[in-house]
Amino acid sequence: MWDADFTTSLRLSIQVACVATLLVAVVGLGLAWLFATIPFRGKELLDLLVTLPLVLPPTVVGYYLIVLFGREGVIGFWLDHWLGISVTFHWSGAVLASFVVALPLMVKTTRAALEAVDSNLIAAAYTLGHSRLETAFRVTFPLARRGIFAGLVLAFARAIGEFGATLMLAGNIPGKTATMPLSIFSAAASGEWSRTHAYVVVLTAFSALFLALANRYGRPPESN
Amino acid sequence: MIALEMRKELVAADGPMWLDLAIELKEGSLIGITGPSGAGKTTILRALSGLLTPESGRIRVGDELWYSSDLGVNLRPQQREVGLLFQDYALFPHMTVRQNLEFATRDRRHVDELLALVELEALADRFPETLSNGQKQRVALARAVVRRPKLLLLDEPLSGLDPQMRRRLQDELLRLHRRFELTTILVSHDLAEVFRLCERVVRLERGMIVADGDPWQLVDEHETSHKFSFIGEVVDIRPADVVFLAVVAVGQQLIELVLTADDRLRIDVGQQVLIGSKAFNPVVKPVGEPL
Repeated sequence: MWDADFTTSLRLSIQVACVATLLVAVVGLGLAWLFATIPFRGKELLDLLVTLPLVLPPTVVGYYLIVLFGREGVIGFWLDHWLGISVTFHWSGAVLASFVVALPLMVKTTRAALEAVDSNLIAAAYTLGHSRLETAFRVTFPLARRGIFAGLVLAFARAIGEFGATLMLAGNIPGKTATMPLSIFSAAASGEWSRTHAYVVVLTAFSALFLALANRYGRPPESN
Repeated sequence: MIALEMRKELVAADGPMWLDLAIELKEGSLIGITGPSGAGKTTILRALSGLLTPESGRIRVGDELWYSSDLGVNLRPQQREVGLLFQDYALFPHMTVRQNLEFATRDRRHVDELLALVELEALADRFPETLSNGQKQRVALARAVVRRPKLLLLDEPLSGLDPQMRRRLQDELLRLHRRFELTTILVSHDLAEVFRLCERVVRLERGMIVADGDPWQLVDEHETSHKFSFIGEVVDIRPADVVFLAVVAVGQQLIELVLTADDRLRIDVGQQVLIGSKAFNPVVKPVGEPL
């Protein structure tokens, strides 16, 4: 049961979750900062759109992703036509699905952390001549780093466990798009219980280890 | 000349009120703004530094226009060259003392010079949370002046410090003010402090200027015939027969005074009081000679 399928699936899961988390880090931090700092029209609407995947069933998210990014999709058609990129039935589809469902966790957690930074410190940085962006990188982000880290941990955990939206958009192709959760489903559906067992144990151990690391390094400063 | 005119609606405890005032300052002067809390003192400093925008008005500093509601000019805080000293110090907790100052300027020599001036060289590599309040305040003060601002704004700079430290920092403040010829606005509800430091005092109540002038004029309006007067803080009051004995701290000294029962009704421990005397025949001698 520790065969090539198993290692491929584990490697694929980690690869998808890492790339998705990287994207979530950049986009999520940017959006959270935008929401926390800059007043603009349509903020509430954008916030709603970003947060929606948190409450929608993953299959519904997957459906929307097909509509947008599928070969005939609004964006997917042009991606395919101009750049020759297609996310359907490709591991990048799994990344996209994980990204969309993990993003709101990062944005919500990080926004709260950024808003908790003493506004006088930000005002002080402004009066000392620093732009909003410089202030973000030198004052706000360093002071909110624990919240940002917590957001990343949640996003990574969500990404590695992504199932529904991935299945819809990327499919369940062994060695290509079948991440651990999908492989568990396949193994259980075909009655290979010892195989299912191995997958579950490894995924649980991996998640527990990750959570322990998060607790170790993401703790608030007063409890050290 | 620095000219400020502003109108801004404030929400006070008992409903909305208007902060509505016009002040002109001489360059290089040190002016105090005093008044009860909620009078709008801090709002003035935040408007001058560009952290909030008034409903209408005009701010002119020398030949620069910082804000004008008529002309649609409103410089961002980054463009205004102000040094703002926050009531809670607002030191960056993740930076050392030196880094806090270097955050404001690239000029390392000037940072060294300032650290020496406020006697903080020994603490340069410490983080703010390891400093006493007095030390934090000196760092904040040094950081506020490091860019040689056109306007230094101090928001209750010395509240929360013990009297000795307060006295020391007042001297420091005067030293920096003179050294860099900084036009300074000091917001404080501590009368003694305002008297010691400021050439001119503006008193603000419910968003309006109710008095403006020489510090002595302000308190002494009805009592100008006094030969001697001091401002002090009541430290202790105890009854003695039909009167009360009050101990008042004036500068470094404690003075014992008699209060009548009527006085006692108006005066309490912790209060700032004006002590005046008409019949006074002072002896003046060089320090060291016996009186």
